[in-house]
Amino acid sequence: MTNDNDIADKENEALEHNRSARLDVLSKHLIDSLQPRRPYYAAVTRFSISIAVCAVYLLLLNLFMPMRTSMINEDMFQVDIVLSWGIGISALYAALALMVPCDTKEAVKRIILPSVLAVVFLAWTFLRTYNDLAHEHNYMMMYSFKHCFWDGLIFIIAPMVLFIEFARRGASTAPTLLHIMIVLSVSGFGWGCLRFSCANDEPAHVFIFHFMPFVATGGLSVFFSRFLFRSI
Amino acid sequence: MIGEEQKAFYKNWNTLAAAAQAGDKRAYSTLIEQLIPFARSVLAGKLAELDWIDDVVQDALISAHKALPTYQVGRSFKAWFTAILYYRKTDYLRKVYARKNHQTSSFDELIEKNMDPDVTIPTHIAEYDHVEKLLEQIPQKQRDLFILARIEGYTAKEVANMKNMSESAVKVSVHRTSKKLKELLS
Repeated sequence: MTNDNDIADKENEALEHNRSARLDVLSKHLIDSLQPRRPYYAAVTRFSISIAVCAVYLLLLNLFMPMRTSMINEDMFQVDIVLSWGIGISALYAALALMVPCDTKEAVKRIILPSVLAVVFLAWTFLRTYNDLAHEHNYMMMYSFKHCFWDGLIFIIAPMVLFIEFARRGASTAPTLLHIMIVLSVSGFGWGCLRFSCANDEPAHVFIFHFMPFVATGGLSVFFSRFLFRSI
Repeated sequence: MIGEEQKAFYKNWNTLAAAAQAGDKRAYSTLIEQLIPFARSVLAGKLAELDWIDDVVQDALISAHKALPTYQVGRSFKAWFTAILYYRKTDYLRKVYARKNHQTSSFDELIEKNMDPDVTIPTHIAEYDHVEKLLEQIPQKQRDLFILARIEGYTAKEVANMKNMSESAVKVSVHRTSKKLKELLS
C-alpha cells in the first residue's frame, strides 16, 4: 500500500507540477489584477443606439442635401429601399452580435438573413443593369452626377465611425465576418440614402457610381479586418 | 459529472462571471480554477502536444480576462469562453504552422519527442474504442475517478474535492486503475 502510494505520488506530482506551475502563476496574476468593470452594452441597446444615430444623422443631412421623398410612391424605388435598408439593418444586427465572443453556430445563424438579402439585391441590380445596357441605354445619362461617390461617403461616415467604435470596444472572435457585416450594413444604408439624394435613376449609373465604389472600398478593407477589429 | 449536475455546474459559471465582472476576486478565483481543467479537456483531443494545450489555455485565460466586460449576464458563460478558447487555438496553430513551415522533422525525432497518446489518430480509433470497452470492466467508482483525472484533466486535488475524498486516496485509485488497464491491454 505504502509502495503504491509513493509511486503514485511521485508520478502524479511530477506530471502535475510541470503542467500547472505556469498556469498557477498566471491565475494568481489575473486574480490580483481584477478590477470591477462596467459590462459592455447589450446587443439590443447597441442596436437601438445605432438605429437612432442613423435616423438623426439622416434627418440632419436632409437639411443640407435635398431628398426625393416623393419617390417612395414608386414600386421599383420601394424595392430598392426595402432591399438596401433591409441589408443595412440585418447586417447591423449580425455585426453587433459578432462584436462579442460567440460560437460558430450562432455566428452562422446571424449572417444568414443579410447574406440572402445581399444575394437577392445583387441579382436584382445585375438584372436591371443588364437590361438597361442591352436596350434603350442613354450613355450620357450614365456618366452624369459623378459626385455620387462623395455624397455616399458623407452618408456613411457617421454610421461607419459608430459601428467601428462599437466593434473596437468589443472582443470579436470572428473579425473577418464582423468586418463583412459592417461593410454590408454601412453600404446598404449609404446606397439607400443615395437613391433618395441622387436624381439619376439610370440602373447603369446606380450600379457603377452608387454600388461599385462601396463594394471596392469595402472589399479591400476586409483584408485589414484582423488589424482593425482584433481586440481580443 | 453527468446530466443535471453538469448543467448546474456550468450554470454556476454564469453567476461567478457576473460576480467577477463586479470585481469579486473570490468568485473569479473559483471560476479560473474550474476553467483550467475544462479548457484542458476541450483541447486534449485537438492539439498534439501537452505544452501547446497549456499555451492555448494561458492565452485563452488572458483573452477572457481582457474581454470579461463583453460577457452578457444571463447568457451562457461556457459558450462565451469556449468561443474564445477555439479562437485562441486557431490563432496559436496558425503561428505554430507559420513557424514550422520551413522546418522538417525526421521520423526518429518524432518518436523521440514522445507524441501525445491522447491525440486521436484516425487509424487508431479502434484502439481507443478498445480502451473504452476495457474501462467498462473497472468498478464504477474507480472508473469515475480515472475519467475525471486522466481524461477530463482535473488535478487530484480537484477530484478529491469533488468526490469528498482525500487527495492521496484519489491518486492511489487512479494509479491502480492505470495499472489494471495496462494489464488488461497486455
